[in-house]
Amino acid sequence: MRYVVILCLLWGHAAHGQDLTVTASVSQADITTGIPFEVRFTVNGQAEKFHPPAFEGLRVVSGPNQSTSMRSINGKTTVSMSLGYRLVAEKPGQYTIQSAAVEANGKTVRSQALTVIVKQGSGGNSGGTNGTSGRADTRSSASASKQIFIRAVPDKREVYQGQQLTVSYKLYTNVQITGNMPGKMPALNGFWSRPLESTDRRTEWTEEVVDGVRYETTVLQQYILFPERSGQLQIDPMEMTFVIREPVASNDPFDRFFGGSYREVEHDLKSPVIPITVRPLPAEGKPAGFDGAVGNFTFTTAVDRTELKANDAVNYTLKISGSGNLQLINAPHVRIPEAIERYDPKVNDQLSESASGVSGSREFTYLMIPRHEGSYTLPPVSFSYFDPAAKRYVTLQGDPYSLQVAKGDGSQPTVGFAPGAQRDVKVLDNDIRYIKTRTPRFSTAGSGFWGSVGFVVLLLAGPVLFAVAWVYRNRQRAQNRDAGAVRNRNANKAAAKHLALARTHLHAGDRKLFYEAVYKGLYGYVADKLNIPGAALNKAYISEQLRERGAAEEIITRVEETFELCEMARFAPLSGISETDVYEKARQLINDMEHEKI
Amino acid sequence: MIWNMRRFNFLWLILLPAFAAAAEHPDSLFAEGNRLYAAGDYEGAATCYEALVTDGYHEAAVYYNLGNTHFKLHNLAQSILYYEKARKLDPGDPDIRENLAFVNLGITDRIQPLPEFFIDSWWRGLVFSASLTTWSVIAVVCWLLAFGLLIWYLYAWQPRVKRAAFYGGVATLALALLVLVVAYSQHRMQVDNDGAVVFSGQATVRSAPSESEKALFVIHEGTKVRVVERADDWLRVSLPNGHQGWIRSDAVEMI
Repeated sequence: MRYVVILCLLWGHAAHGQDLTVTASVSQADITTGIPFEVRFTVNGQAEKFHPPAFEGLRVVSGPNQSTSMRSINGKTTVSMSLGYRLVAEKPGQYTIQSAAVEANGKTVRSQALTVIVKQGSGGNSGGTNGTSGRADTRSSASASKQIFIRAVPDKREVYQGQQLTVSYKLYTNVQITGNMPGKMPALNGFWSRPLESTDRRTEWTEEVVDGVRYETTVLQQYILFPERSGQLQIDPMEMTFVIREPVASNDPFDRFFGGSYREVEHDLKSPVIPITVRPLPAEGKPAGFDGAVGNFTFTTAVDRTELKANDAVNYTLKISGSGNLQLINAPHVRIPEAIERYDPKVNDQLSESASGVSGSREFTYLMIPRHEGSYTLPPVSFSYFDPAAKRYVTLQGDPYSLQVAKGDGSQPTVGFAPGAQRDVKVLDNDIRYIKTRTPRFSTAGSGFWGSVGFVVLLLAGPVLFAVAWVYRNRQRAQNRDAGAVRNRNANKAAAKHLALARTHLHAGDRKLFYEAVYKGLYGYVADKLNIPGAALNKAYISEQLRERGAAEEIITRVEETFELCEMARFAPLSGISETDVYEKARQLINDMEHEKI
Repeated sequence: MIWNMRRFNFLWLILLPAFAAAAEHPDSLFAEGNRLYAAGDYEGAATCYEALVTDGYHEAAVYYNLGNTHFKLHNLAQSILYYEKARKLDPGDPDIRENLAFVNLGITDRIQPLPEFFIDSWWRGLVFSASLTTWSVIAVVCWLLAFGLLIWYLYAWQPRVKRAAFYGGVATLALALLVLVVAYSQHRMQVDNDGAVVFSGQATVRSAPSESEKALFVIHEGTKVRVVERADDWLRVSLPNGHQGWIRSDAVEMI
């Protein structure tokens, strides 16, 4: 940054170092009286001062019309400035335009002198083409300047820097005005100026006597001026063109009878330059906080409340009122505790501008938001200004304030927690994720459990075990079934054995043993046939089993009868039935059951 | 998955006792590779990881780290190849997906893949929700349990117990078969290598397996293709957007 500044300075220097030349030129070769032409002075280089020639015998219609151009080629900067003057020649003849002088760096450079020849124009055109009357045919003469003129009238000739003054451009006349043309407004360099807008559109005329002559006067324009620097400043002239009506001495009695004849004359008026002495503000006694306020002020401070909750807003107002350079006053320095959020002050002006100057008030309002509870002290604010009337500095003190901030209400949205205060996390860049650092469970390809021998063996083990279990169960079941069949087959044999024994006992006459043998034979037969263990044998179970196996009801009845007979006969002699009958009955029953294929 | 692994830890040790003895070597190589990567020596890290692959340790983490290493070495195609290999082994891993997506931004071809049917992604998610070993163990346990129940059915005497054992056995057997199918799917997905990554700067896809045939389109380094068919030096490949054609087999590297 610093180099850029240096570079700029070097450039500026280069522009200064360039050779300064001035050339003068005329816009047209044929110049006739009454037709404006332009003389242009072109200055190559940075001119500090320009002295135009006097243009003797020629009238300046407008100018200087200034234009500046700057070009930078290959780092070389050239500055050229041209000043044009529009001139009108009143009379034909030869005119010499003297050389113009340009000053720069203490040197003076002159342009060449120009010679122009002005021819007589066609008659009647000499009065200018843009007069409002259209009939103005004669230019002003020196004698008319006493009859109409403009003056700049300041209210003070000596002021302090920053002190306001009012200047009025006044027209003095004692002739009749028939028209006017706007002229050049003053530049007022060195002043901060505010034109005073008159609320009244009508022109107010007053009478004033100057050097024993009575004039009608009116204010053309008023400015409130604030000198921006000290030293000799000047109030620039104001230029205007007026058309006035002049009586013409006539020999015609008829004319004289009707009040004579008049002619309309254009007057180019220019107010004289008024010098103003601007004194610098005194150095001694200048307060530390002085910021250029000049005038007469009062200073008040206010806060809109002193007891509040955290995150509530409080307004701190500093008001400067009075007359002076109010618009140029900056906010006084305010010390606000760090814990209080503070915003830039809002400036509120209430000004009135009049011929006596600018007056009113300027208000600075600070919006402050305490973020935390506690007690805060706002130190008094001081404001300093220079009073030009008393020629001294004045420092005014505001009031100190104490803010009592209570704990904030959580329900209130705070700036910090407001939804709008949140921002998305800004992604700066993208990259791949980092490598995996956790050591995996390494296994070479194909060494996993899947597809391994153990896996296949375990998978095969299931159906194989099932098949084995199936085969084993079936075999067991088959074996059990075979045991029953054998017993069934042998049932008849065993019964026959028991019956043979019973026969022996019958022949021997042992009745008890006979019945026992018959009973055993029949019982054993049924037990073997039905594959019932001996312990489970009882009459009811046997009947049930027989019924289950589909034995005929007649046989079941006979089985029950026979068992009953045997049981009874074992303990008591039977009547009505012989042993031989019982034997035959049992034998027949076994025979029938055998045939029944139970 | 970690939970499952821990649960079947003991099974691991019972079934594969040789495994623990072999673990020393790959662990230290992996750690060395990670150390070199962290130090910025990507060449050295790549050597370590590649040694692991050469030794037959096909682990998603190793491939993933290799992908990272090659990305750092600006080998785009190799980086994509290794990420794809890692994803084949562990499609659910978010790091692998993320890095693959990121690296894919660097390739020339922008191919809009056809959207995957949601049942496919569900199935894939199920299949890869546990490791192959975990699925295998679950399948075997269910399988043996199912046959145990069926054997009980054979010998049960009380009708109610017999019935319960039968239905329980059949249901467990169905579950075991499903888990076996899941495990088999994962195995196939890991073993099938029909994916390939273009390794040459650009490769012309032709309408038939011959240099004189019409060029259909050109694909560039890093683009992933699916190999549909092989014929000598030529591969018939299919792009994710459905385009198909023949490409020289030396232009691509199988995943």
